[in-house]
Amino acid sequence: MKQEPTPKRIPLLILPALAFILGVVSCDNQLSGPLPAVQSHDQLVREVTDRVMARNTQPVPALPAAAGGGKTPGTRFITSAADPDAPLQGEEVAILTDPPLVPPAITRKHPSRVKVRLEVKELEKQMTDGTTYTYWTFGGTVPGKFIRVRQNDEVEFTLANHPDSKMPHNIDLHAVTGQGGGAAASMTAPGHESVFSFKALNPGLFIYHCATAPVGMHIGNGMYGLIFVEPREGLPAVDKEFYVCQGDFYTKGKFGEPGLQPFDMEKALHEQPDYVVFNGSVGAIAGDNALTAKTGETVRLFMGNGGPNLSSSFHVIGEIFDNVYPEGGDTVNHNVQTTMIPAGGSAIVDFKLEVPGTYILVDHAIFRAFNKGAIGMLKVTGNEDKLVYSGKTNDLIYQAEGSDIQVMPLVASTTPKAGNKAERIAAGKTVYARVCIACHQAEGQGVPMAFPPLAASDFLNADADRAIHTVLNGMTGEVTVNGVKFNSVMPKLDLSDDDVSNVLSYVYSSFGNKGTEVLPDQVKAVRALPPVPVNRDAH
Amino acid sequence: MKFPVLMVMAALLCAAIAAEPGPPAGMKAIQGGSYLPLFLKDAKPRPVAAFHLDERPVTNGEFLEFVRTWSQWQRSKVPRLFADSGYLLNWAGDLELGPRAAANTPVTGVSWFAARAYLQSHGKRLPSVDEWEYAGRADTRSADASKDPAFTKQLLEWYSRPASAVLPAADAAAPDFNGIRGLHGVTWEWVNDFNAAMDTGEGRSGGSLERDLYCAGGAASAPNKTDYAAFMRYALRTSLRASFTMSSLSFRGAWSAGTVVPARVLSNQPVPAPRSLYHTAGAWTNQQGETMALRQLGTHWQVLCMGYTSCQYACPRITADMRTIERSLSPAAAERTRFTFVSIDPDRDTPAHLKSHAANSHLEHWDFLTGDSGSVLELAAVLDVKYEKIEEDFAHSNTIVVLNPAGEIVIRLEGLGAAPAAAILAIEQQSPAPAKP
Repeated sequence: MKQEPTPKRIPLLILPALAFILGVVSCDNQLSGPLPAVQSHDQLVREVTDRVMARNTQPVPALPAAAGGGKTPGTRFITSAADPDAPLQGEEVAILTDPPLVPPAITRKHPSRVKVRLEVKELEKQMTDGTTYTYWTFGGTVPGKFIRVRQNDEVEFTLANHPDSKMPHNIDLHAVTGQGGGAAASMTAPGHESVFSFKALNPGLFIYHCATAPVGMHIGNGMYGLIFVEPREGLPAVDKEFYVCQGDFYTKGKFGEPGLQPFDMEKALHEQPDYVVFNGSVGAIAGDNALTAKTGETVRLFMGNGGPNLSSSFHVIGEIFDNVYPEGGDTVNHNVQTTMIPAGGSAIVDFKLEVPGTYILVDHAIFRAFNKGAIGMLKVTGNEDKLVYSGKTNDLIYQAEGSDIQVMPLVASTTPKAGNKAERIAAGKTVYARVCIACHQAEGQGVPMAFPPLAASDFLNADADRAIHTVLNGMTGEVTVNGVKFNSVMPKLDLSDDDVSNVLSYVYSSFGNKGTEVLPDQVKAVRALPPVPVNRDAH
Repeated sequence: MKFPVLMVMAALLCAAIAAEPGPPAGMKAIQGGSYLPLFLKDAKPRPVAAFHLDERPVTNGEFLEFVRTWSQWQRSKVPRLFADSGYLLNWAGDLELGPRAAANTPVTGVSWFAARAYLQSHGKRLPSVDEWEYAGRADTRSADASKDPAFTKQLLEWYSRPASAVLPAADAAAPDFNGIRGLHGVTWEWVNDFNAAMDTGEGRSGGSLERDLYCAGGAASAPNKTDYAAFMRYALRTSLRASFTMSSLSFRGAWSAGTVVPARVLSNQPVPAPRSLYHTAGAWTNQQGETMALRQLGTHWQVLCMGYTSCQYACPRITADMRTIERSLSPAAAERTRFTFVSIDPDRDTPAHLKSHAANSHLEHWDFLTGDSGSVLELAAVLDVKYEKIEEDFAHSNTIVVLNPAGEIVIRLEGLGAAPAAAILAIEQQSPAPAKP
C-alpha cells in the first residue's frame, strides 16, 4: 500500500516550522526537546529556524516504517517497521541498460543517493522487415532503459528531451509515491531537461511511462520501460536476467504493410492493434536476437507490459515458471504456466532450464503471437536429459476405435459414370488425388517405413480382386511389398463401386503398373464377399 | 523611495511606433467568428474578432535585420532571463546566419520575449491562442476542416515525426483557405498567451490543474477528446517557459486595428544579474497613482505575488501567507524587505480601487501595482505564473517569490499555505540566488 505522498526534502524539514509559526500545537517528534516558553512570535520563529538549520546539517535518518505493511507469511520483501533500514550513505550514478539486458543486482546493505538520467529521443526504427515506425523512446529503445535502484534510495531523476524532438515529454514512474508519479515535475520541452527527486519507498518491479497529453499516443509510440526497486535483502541469485516488455502498436497500414507507418488514432481508440510485440518490434528477441542460456541455468525475466491497451497472457512454451512475483509485487506464486500482466503492470518470473531447446515467449492470447508478432525466443544449449524430455521416440498411427480398421467417410463423388477405360482413368485420377495421395504419394512411391508403394507394386499387380478388397475393407498388419515389409494400417475407404473401379484403373494404368482395367461390376462382386482377411503375400 | 528621476528610465525603455492605419504588408485577413477551444467543457463557442496574420513565419533573414538594429537581442548579449542557451544556436554568430540557418527559412531557437520584441518593432504582436487555433482550423479548401478526419490525421502524422534538421523555406508550403502558409507541418509557433493554458499537459489531472493550485480553473476539461493534434499543441505550450527556445519553434505576427502595442525594448543600462527581473520593461502604477518600474525596488528584498483584488478564494490566502512572512521577520530583516501585490486584472484594479483595497486590508504600507496587459503578461512570463480569465474570475498560479536586491528569484513558494519558513530564512540570512532558478 502506498503511504501518504512524501513531500520533497526541503518541505519535509520545514513542515514543523510551519506548524509552529501558525501556532499549531504540534506533537511532531522530529524536533527534539520540549517547546521553550517564548515571549514573541519573532523569538518563536527564530527558535524554529535554528532547529531547522541544525537539522539540515545532521545526517538524515531513514524514514522508519516508510515502506508500509509488516512482514506477513508468503511475502518476500522485508518491509517491517521492526526491521529499520540502514541510514542513507553515499552517492552513485545508476547503471542503465538497453533491453533485453538488466543492470547488475544491487548488493548494497544501505540506501544511497542515486542519480538517474534518461534522454527522450524520437526515432524512426524498424517495426518489422520493410516496415518502419517513428518511435518515441526513453533512451533510444523500446522499452526504455532498465533502471535498477534499491529500496529507500533517494533518486535524483533527470529527464532530458533531445533538441530534435518534436514533442514535449514527461515521465510517470509507478515506483514514485507522489503526485503524478513525477509527471508534472518532469514536463520537458524539446531541448530542455527537468530534475526531480523521489524516495523509492516500495520495493517491486514498476512500469514507467510518458504521461503527456494525449497520453495514449505517447505510450502507444513506445514510451514505457521498467524500474526495479530492489528489496533490501535483494532477490534470490539467478544465472541470467533479461528485460522484456510487451506493447501494442496501431499503424495506418495493416501488419507487414511496407514503408514508414504512421500512428492510427482510430485503431488505438478501438483497441485493435496491428502489432503486439515484445521489446518494440517484430523479432526483437527472436532469431538472431533470441535470448540465450544454457541448461542448468536459472533465468529470471523482468516482464513489463506497456500496453497502451492490451493485457498480456504471458507464457513461455515448454517451460513452467518456478516462481512468479505476480504484478511485480512481493508475493510469490509457484509452478505457473501463464501469468497475467496488465497494461501498465509487470511480473517477475524465474525458471530453471533443464533441457535444451528453443523456448518461445508468447502472449497466449494466441492470435497476437501468430498474427501480430508477440513471439520471443529463449535459445537454450546444453546436454539433453532424456528423462526430463525424451523428444519423439515413436511415430504411430492413432487408432481411435481400437485396432479395428477405420472407415474414411468420403464425400459422394459427383463424377459422371465413365463409359470407357480412358474416362475411367481420368476420373480415377481425381479420386486418387482426393483419397490416396496423402499416404501413397503423388507418384505412387509411398512413404518408406510407413506406407507401401503402389508404383510397380508386385503386391498390387498380383491380384486385382485383392486390391479391390483392400480398398473396400482396409488392411492392417504386416505386408510385404516389393520385398519390403510394412506394418501399418490402411483405413476402410467408403467409396462407390464406380469410384473404386476408376481409382484402381488409374493406379493400374500409372506408376509403371500393368494396366489392368477394373470394372464396377467386378467391385460389386468383391463387395458381396465377406470381409475376410486377405493373403498378405505378394504372390 | 519612488524617485521621479527613475521614471525617466521607464520612458527610455519605450520607443513608440506610430499606429498605422492598416495592417503591415505580407499579412492576410482572417474573418471574425467563433470556435470551440480544446478545453473548457460546456463552454460556449469563443468569439474571435477579425484580425490579420502573417502569411508565413518570420525568417532568419528578417530576424537578422532586427538584431542588427536592436543589439540587445544578439545571441551573445541577450540576458538569460529572456532567452535560454539555445537562443539562435543554429546561427553561425551574432550577425551571421551560416549554413544551418538559410535566410529564407523560418527563424527558430527564438524565445517568447524575443519573438514579442521583434513583432513590436514591426508594429505587430503575437497571435493569441484563440486566434492561432481559430486560423489553424483551415485546410486548403475550407476555413474549418477541424471536423475532417483526413485533416486531423494529416496533422497527427506531421506531429509524430521528429523535427527535421533543415527546414524548408518559410513560404514553401501551399497557402491554406485564408492564404496562410505553413501554420501546420513545418514548425510549432509561439502564441502570446501560451502560459495561459491551464492544462498541465501531463495528463494527470483530467485536463485541469487542481483547485488548490489554480482558483476557478477546476472546470477546465476537453470537450473533444479525440483532437489529438490540439492536445499536442496545448501540451507543448504548457511545457514552455517564456525564455525557452526550440529548434522546431518559430513565430509569426498578428495585427488588428487599435491593438498595436508600442515597442518596449531593453534598456542599454546594464543590469548586473543576467536573470534579474529588473530586465523587464513593464510600467506600473501603485495605489498612490505613482508610476514606477520594478527595478525601483532594487535596494530592497521583495516578497511579490500576482493576483486580483476581487478574488474570493486564492488571493486572500496568498496575501495571508505573505502577511505570515512579514510578521515572522526580525526587525532588521523587515526593514530591508518590501511586499508587493501585482494585479493581473488591470480593468478592475485601478489605482483608486487598489488604494481602498489596501486600506481595507490594513496593508497600506505594501505596494499594490497595476499595469497595462502587456506588462502583466511579461511579468507573469518571467515569474512563470499562469493566468487565464474565465468569466468574471481568473484562474491563476498561486506563487509567491522572494527577490533579492538584484532582482533575482531566491525562493519561490507554490500553492496555497505553502510553508513560508524557506522564505523567512532566505530573507533573514540574505541567501544567494540559486545558480539555476
